[in-house]
Amino acid sequence: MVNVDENVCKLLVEFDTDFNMFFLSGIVDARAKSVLDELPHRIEHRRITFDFGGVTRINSMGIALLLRCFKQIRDEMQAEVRLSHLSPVNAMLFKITGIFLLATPDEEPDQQHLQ
Amino acid sequence: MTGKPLVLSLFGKSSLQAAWEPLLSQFPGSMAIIGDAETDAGRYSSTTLGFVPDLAVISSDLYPNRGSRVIESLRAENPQLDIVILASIETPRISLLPLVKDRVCHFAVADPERDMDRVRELLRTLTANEPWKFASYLHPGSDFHEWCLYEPQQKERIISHIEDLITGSGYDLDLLRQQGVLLADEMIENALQAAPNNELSEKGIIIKAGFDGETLALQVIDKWGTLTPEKALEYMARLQDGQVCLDLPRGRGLFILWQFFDHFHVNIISGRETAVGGELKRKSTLDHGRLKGFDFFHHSCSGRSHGKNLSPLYWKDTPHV
Repeated sequence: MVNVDENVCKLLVEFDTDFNMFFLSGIVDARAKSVLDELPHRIEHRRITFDFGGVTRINSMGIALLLRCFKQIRDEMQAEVRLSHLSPVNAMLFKITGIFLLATPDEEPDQQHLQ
Repeated sequence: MTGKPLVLSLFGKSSLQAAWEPLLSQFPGSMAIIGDAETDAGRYSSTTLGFVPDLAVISSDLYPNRGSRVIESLRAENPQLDIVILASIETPRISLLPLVKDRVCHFAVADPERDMDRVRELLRTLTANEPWKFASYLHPGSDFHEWCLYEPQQKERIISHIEDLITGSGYDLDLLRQQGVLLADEMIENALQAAPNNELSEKGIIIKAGFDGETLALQVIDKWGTLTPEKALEYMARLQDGQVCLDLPRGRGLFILWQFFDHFHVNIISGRETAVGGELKRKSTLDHGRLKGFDFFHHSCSGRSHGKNLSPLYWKDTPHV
């Protein structure tokens, strides 16, 4: 599990080895840089899922970091990135900013996930 | 602009002109020309028209496919001419690249049966040489709130206050809350990123927010004035085609604001002040394919720009803090 000091960065990431999945929670913004820069180096499989169920907000700086992270996973680690539990707002964000060109959503935006 | 403003409106079809006639006829001097592939520059000279327009409204069925030369000929006699491109809500997606090239700062997407008031407000604002008024988004007499941010650490608390303005539960309100928080974050971050050294603690960033039950209105005002309409349009145009731009350090925030807000405006006094804002309607749905408009109002700190007198951009409206 990647623990991050909340005083430094709001984003928390947990890795589930059984499901080859990263669980993200908190805010994805500029403070998430160190966390997201490290993630590609933890990839060991050809398919990895990022669960955004605990993410409350992603701003444009966070989008830029996610783009870089996913591109590195796809191009350098040769792994496929899947996305799960996207809120409708985050799904639209990902669509208009090109995240979906690098990562594939697992399901329709989670309309129940509006908390 | 002295005397009555003269508004020239150009439509490709008489049906469109007829739909907007009730509004355009309210502006003295309004003249509508219906043309089909009329690109003869001479047609829009002051000699032919009999006047030099202060404002031109061009329907999207003429522009950009056939209208760029029209804009060129109009600006030949009045380089500071404001141009409004008027599109219907059914209009297919329009590339922003021609608007960047033609320096078009106003793109109105409207249904004449529903949005007459919004377009009326735009034309009134332009012909009066005013910036866009934040209070125009809300029901008359509605309260709104105002905060001043002097350090980045205040951002989350202010965003939390904005979130609390939207009371009630339900899918539409939850969606509105999430969008409002996102867009407030973007506007505040844009202002923070653009802040020159030491000026944030001295001048602060002003955040305005109001919710009248149907509309969430947001605006962030900084005292740097570093954004230009040309730069903003270039960012928006570059991201419009959905390509992944990893080397775009700035601009993605503006694009996000444009895509989410139901109306998006920027008021700029170069070198002095930038106000970015918009409205989110409770009834609106998330629709990536929906065409969205924008308005950039630009004045120079020398007092005149585009032939206009300087107007104060930080309007006090009716503050209720």
